[in-house]
Amino acid sequence: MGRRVLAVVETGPGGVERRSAAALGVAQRTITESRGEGDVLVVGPAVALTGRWAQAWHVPAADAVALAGTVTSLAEAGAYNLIAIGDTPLGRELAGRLAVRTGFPIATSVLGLRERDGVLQASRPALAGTRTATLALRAPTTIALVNAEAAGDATGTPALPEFTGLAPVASASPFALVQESRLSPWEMDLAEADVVVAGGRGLGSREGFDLLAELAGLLGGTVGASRVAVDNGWIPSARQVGLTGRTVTPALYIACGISGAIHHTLGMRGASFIVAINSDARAPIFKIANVSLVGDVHEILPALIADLRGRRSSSDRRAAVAGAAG
Amino acid sequence: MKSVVLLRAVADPELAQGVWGDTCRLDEPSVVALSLALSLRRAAGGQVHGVAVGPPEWDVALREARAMGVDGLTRAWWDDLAEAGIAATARVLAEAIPADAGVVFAGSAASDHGSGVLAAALAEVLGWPLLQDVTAIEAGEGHLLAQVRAGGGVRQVYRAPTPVVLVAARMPAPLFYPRLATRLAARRETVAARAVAHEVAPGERFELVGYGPARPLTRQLLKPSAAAKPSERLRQLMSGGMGGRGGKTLEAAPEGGIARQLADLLAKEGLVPAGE
Ligand SMILES: Cc1cc2nc3c(=O)[nH]c(=O)nc-3n(C[C@H](O)[C@H](O)[C@H](O)COP(=O)(O)OP(=O)(O)OC[C@H]3O[C@@H](n4cnc5c(N)ncnc54)[C@H](O)[C@@H]3O)c2cc1C
Repeated sequence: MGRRVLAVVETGPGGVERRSAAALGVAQRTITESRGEGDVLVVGPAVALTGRWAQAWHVPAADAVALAGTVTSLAEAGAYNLIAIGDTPLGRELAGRLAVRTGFPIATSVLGLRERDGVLQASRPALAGTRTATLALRAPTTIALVNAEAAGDATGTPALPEFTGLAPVASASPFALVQESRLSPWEMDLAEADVVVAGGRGLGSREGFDLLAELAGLLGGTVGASRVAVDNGWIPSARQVGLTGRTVTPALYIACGISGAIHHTLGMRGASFIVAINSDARAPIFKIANVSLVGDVHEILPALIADLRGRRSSSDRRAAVAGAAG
Repeated sequence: MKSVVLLRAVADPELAQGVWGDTCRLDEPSVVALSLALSLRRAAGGQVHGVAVGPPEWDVALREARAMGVDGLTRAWWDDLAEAGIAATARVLAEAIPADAGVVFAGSAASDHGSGVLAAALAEVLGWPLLQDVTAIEAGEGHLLAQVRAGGGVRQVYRAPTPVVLVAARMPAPLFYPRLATRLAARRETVAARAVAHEVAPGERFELVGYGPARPLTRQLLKPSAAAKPSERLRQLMSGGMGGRGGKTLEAAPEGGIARQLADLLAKEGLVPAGE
């Protein structure tokens, strides 16, 4: 059965936002598998996209209330079976508001979609992430909030579609920005950090933590430590992560020269993505790490910092070019 | 000002063994939202009311919220709601929110759903604005000052009008240590149960086809070959030698070292900007 799909995609100076790219991929796959057709709404700069799109609309950056109005009108006209949205803050608000406005059900945290006997099925994490549930989506139209980890990477060579510009329904934000500050790694509290770069005995000295702070600064995060590092006086005790320290739940935790004793991991195992750098290939920290680097922190960290500095200046350049062009 | 906090309970297998015979507890995002609501009450006075849409088994966890300091509790339920979609749940929640409430606090993401769409649906039903990723809250003159985590180490403060729905950022839940007497008193409290008048539209339901194994964690091991000579290992380490757990050694990546590979992986995960 040919499905009609609408993909809502956020873009920035670097192209399609990563979580939106997952939604784009899932949409594209559903179109291909069902021999259907799809339209795309790009929110942000008009960029090249993978996939074949019957219609491509483009709106400048918009808030969720305005965007919900735009997508509701498109959905009324388009008779879509699926509206795929990336799991971003804007995407979440859009999906929630859209569900109430249109009455379409939302499948959240979608990891993949497939056709089975003419029924669209979605898989998503269930039972606190210990299982994957498969749901049959029988409603005429379903909103899929697509998990960033979704299978169905966008394939093909990106090309610039012929965009039709849309003006979002005007809605003034009721929130006034009164203050904005970029926190240095030492100003940021462990609990509020999205990125924690933590060091242990393997760092070898107080100076090792200067290197960690430099890396944390580049990643917009803060510095944590194991108890051994605190006991050695390399870093204040407020930075200790673990059973007798603080609990953290960042998006990214980089453990440098930390063995991974249970007393430490109890405080950081809730992190979404864990990178461990340790010279001992059998270090227990590797059991819970998403990415394990076997090597000397004193060699890897300076190289990583240099690499990230390079990326940052190139992305700043891209943003400046996009700003000047737009 | 009257604040409302959305509460959700989760099954806790460890508690099933406990002396109280409890089987569920408040989920972490709810506790974070509750702590924001209580901090606003401390600063500006008023009341905090806990609202939940869930089965009677949740009462034991909701009373925990009472011990932590909420002034009142309402739980709405109707068996069909077990299968209801987000919009129906939001409508039921909206009906349970006291008319004089000025702010609704919600947790970042329900543990099973992994998404904070319910708060957005509620904001839509109520016709209120929504602000996400809130890390702290203060009361201003006729408005609220909400501190927001904007990513990349940036902290923003917004002046928010009331009424408003605020979604707490993903943060570790603070620990509450209610006195034993307070806990015991809370256990005797009744949770106001609310009948639900809604029919759940059949289109809102998804049919569960079955469960499968969880998707495996993304895992990657970057290391030089163990079989190599020390000087060779060092060269590989510097040039990006990479081997899998089974000892399979890939060719040294010509385009950079092990740090470059890590930076590429982080970029692929969207955690750092992508390279040129
Ligand atoms: C009751 C109790 C409570 C505790 N609470 C906490 C707590 O809250 N938090 C906490 O962290 N600990 C806590 N501990 C201590 C905990 O058990 C461990 O001793 C501690 O976490 C170990 O710290 P570490 O990993 O830095 O040191 P180690 O265990 O010594 O590990 C150092 C690691 O660094 C690696 N390494 C060495 N040199 C390098 C290099 N050049 N490059 C890369 N890697 C290198 C080594 O291979 C090793 O794996 C507690 C202990 C007890 C008994």
